[in-house]
Amino acid sequence: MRFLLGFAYITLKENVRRKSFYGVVVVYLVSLIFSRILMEFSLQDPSKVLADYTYSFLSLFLFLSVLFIATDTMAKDIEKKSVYLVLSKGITRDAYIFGRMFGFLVFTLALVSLLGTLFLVGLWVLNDLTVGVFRKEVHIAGGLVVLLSLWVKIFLLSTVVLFLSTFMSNFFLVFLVSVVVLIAGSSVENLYHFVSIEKERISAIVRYTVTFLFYVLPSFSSPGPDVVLGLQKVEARHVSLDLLKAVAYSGFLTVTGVLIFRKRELA
Amino acid sequence: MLISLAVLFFGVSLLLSFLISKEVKKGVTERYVLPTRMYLMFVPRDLVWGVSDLGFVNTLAFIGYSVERGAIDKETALRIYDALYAVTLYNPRYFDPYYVGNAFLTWETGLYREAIDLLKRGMRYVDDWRIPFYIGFNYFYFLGENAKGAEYLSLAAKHPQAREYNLIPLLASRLYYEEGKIEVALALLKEQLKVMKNESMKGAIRVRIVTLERAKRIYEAMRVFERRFGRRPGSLEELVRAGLVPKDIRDGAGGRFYITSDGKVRSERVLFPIRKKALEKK
Repeated sequence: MRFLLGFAYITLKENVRRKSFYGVVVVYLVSLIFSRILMEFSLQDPSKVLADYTYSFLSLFLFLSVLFIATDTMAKDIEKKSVYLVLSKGITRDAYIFGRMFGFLVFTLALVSLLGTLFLVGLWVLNDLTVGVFRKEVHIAGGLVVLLSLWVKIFLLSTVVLFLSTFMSNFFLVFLVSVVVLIAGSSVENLYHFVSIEKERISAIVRYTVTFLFYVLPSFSSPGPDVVLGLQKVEARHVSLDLLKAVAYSGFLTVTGVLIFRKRELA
Repeated sequence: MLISLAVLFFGVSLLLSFLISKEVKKGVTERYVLPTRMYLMFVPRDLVWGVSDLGFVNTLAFIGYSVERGAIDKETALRIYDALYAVTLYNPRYFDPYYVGNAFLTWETGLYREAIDLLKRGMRYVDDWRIPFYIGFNYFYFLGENAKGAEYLSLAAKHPQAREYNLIPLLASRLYYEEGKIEVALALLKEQLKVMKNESMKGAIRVRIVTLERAKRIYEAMRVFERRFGRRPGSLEELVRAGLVPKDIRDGAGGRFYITSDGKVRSERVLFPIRKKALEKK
């Protein structure tokens, strides 16, 4: 446990030191103002537009940050041979992968807490101070559920990167494949959403195939901004199953990564 | 740092491209990229919220351009319908596309069924009385389907946000009346009376209830008359002479009833009793 905490501390420290970490925070603050400007295009639903943009920017920055940072961390470890230093200290390969995974868990939590707080506070302030007649209330409890879900999902993405890094040595290849996995997972989610809305117009075979893929493939989305505005109720069963699936995926990818990394040639 | 610069650059270029497209709109209008179901499917689920909102703004700009250009052909109208359909498919709780779809697809292009189709999806996701109201209005005003119109207007009237608007139940009851469903109209108005708080709004409802109850009485008298004499009564006076209705029967606002040539009971002042009363007082 002490070893895991140590690894988490190192991962957090090396990533917080990056200037890009602060850059993301600043750019997200700018995007909040940008969202407020875009809100002007709304006719009768400004709160919804504000929530949509601020949330989309939040998830965009979270996924981009995790993709870049996780890929870069693993690539640097192997390219700069710092992994040798770790392994020479008596830490096993299995422990190294578990340590990195735990490090990403803590780092993603820190990232979501920081950007998530900016999102909730920014949305609440902009909504309360600048939206007039058609204002909808911001539900902090719903927002926290969304942030929890986002944390689990970006952690899942970081384990995808970790898994790919255990057998791919090319930084760009890992990044590219991770993006493909992200888009594939998201497209299936969109397809599932499409099929559940258009039930009557779609054949049973297509419907069952999409439903099967939706439950089998990893999903990367959270309940979304509608929950933050209280427009959609949090379906506890659905959300917990979704999170359980993401955690199971992360566990599976980490264990498989450990098994692959045991046999990897590092020289 | 590189990422933040890239993201900043992306944001600035998005803003600049919007401003530039606004400037040179007239030259490049044919290049409007409207959202489609297919292209939104490849957008990550968490980004689809913002992307669909942007797609809606683009659709709005396209509508503006099309209206400005003059005639809107069916192909253009269907393109707009498809874009609004795609936006509402992936972002179904966003009210604006339903609002614009209702206004544009009906008044400007005559795609009434498509507008209703879009609004019916809205009813499943958006908790707003205006959506069933729009559907009801489209049914009775554009398609002449009074029964369906009344059904949706009653749904709008029962919505907690619309309880204080007496015009909706009055309109719905009128449509039910036209369809010969006086009982349903009365039930709707009585239910509305229970939940309304504003006394002046309640007044108009009470007047309508009295009118409908008396009209119902006349219809019943007409049926008795038909059974007794084997023909329809030609006027209200015939019913009075037969002793089936009292001589001084009036609607809720004091207006006279009469029977039309097609056998319908009408009142002089059933639509705007309050206004007429105010004018009489003046």
